Amino acid sequence: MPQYKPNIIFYCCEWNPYIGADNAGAQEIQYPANIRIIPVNCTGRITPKLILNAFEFGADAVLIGACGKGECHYISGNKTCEAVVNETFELLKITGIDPDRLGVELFSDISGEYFASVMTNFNEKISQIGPLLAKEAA
Amino acid sequence: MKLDAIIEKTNAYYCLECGICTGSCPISRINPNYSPRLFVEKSLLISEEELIDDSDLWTCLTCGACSKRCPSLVDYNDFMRQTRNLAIEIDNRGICTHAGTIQSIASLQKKDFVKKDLSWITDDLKIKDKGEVLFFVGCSPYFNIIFNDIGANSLEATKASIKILNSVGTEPVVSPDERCCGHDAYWTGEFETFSQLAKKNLDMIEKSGAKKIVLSCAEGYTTIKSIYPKFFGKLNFEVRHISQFIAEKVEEGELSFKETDLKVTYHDPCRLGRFEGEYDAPRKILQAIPGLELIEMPRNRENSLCCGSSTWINCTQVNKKIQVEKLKEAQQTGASTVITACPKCNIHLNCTMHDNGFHFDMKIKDLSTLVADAILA
Repeated sequence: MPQYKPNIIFYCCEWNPYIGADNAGAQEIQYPANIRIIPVNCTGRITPKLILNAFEFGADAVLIGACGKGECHYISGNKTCEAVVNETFELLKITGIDPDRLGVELFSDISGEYFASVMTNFNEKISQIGPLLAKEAA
Repeated sequence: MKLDAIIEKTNAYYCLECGICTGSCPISRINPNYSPRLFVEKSLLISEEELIDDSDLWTCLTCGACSKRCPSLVDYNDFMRQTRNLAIEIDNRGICTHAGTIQSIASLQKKDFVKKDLSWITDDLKIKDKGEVLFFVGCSPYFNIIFNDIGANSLEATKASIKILNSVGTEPVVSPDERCCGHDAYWTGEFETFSQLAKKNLDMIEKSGAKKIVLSCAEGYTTIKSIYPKFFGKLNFEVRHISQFIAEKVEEGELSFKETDLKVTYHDPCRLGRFEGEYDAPRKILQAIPGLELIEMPRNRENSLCCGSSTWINCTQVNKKIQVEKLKEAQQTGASTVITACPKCNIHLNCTMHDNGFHFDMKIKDLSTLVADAILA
C-alpha cells in the first residue's frame, strides 16, 4: 500500500512566509509536495469561508502562514487573521471537523530551513490524524 | 421557455400595474430604483436572458409585504425565488454577507459534516435520545459563534426554549444528525442544496420517531411546515413554533409567570407572521405575563416592517436604513425591550444597535428568553 499523503492547503501570506518558500526553493531544500501553496496578499484577507470551502472540496487540513507579531506589512492583517481563525476553530468543532486540522504559523524567520521544517512537521501531524471523511464519519 | 411557466404559476400575468407592491416594499421606499411592479412588468416585456441577468433580482428581501396586499394575488416571493433558480444557472448570484461563511456551513452539512457538538447543552437542560417531541435547534450554535461580537447571543433563546419544554415536563430529542433546514438555500435559488438538506432532515426526523417538532426559529418553522410538504409529500408529524407551544400551555394552565414591570413591543418576523399567519400566539403569551405592558408599533401584524435583511445576501446601506427605521418605530412606542421570535431578526436589529453610533436605549430579546426568565419555578 502506498504511503498516505494528506491533501493540505496552505494559505500563504506573500510577505514573510512566501519569502521563506522562495528561499527554500533557491536553496533546494526538500519539503512535502502534497502541500498546495495558495499565496494571498495578506492573511487578513482569509475568511472562514475560504477555510471551510477547502475542507468541503476535499482538503484534509488547512495551514495558514502569517507574518510574525508586529511584522505585518499592512499593520494589522495578522491580527485580523487571528480573530478569523479563532472563530473558525469554534465553527469546525461544531461542524464535526477536528480543529487540529487547521494550523496557523507565524513566520518571523524567513529562512528556507524554517519554512521547510514547518511544512514537514505539519504534514507529519496531519498524516497521523488521517484522511478527513474516513475518520470523522465513523 | 422556463420563465413563461414561472409567470403562469405565480400569477404574474395578472399584474394590474396598480403599484401597491412598490408602495409596500420597504426597499423601494429607500431605493426608488428598485420596484417590484417594474420587475414583474419587465418579466412580461423583455427576454428571459435579460431578466435573469438583472442584479435587482437579489435585492428583494422576500419579506412578503407585497404579495400580502396584491389584489391580483401575484406571488411575488415565489416569482423571485424561481427566477433566482434560473439566474444561478448563468452565475448571476447575490453578494453573500459575512464573507459567505453561513452558506459554506450549509454546503458542508450537505456533505455529511454534521457531527454536531452538543456541548452547549448545559446540565440543567434535559434532553433524550428518542421520544415523541423533537427540538430542531437550527443554526443558532453557528450564529452564536459568528455574531458573538455584536452580542446577539443566539444560543440564549435556544437554551431558553429547551428550558421551557423541560418546565412543562417535556424532555425533547435533540439530534446530532440535524442539518441546516435549507431555508436560505431555497430562497436564494440553490434548489439542489435545499433538496439534499431537506431529504436528510426528513430522514433524521423519521429515524428519531418523533411525532411533534418544536422550533424556536421562525424560518425553520415555515420551511419544515410549509415548504417540505410542497416537494417531499405530506409530513407525518406535527410542526410547532415555540410561541404556539407556549401559548397552548398557557391556555391549558400549565405555565404561570412572575410579575414584571417591563414595557415591551413585539416585532412580527415575516416568516412567522406574513408567511404562517401566526400573529396571535406571541401576543397571547405577552398578555399572560402579569404586569407586562405590550405597546404595539404603528405598523404591526401583516403590516410589520421587515428587519431589513434576509437569507444572508445583499446587505447594503438600504438594508441598514430599513433597520434604523424599524428601531426608531420601536423606540417611539416608549418600550424598553423589543421582543422578536426569530433569531435572524434578533441578529439584524442587534447589529444596527451595535454599530453606527445610533442611540437606541432598548434591548432586543427573543420571546423564549423572556418567557424562560418569567416562569414561576
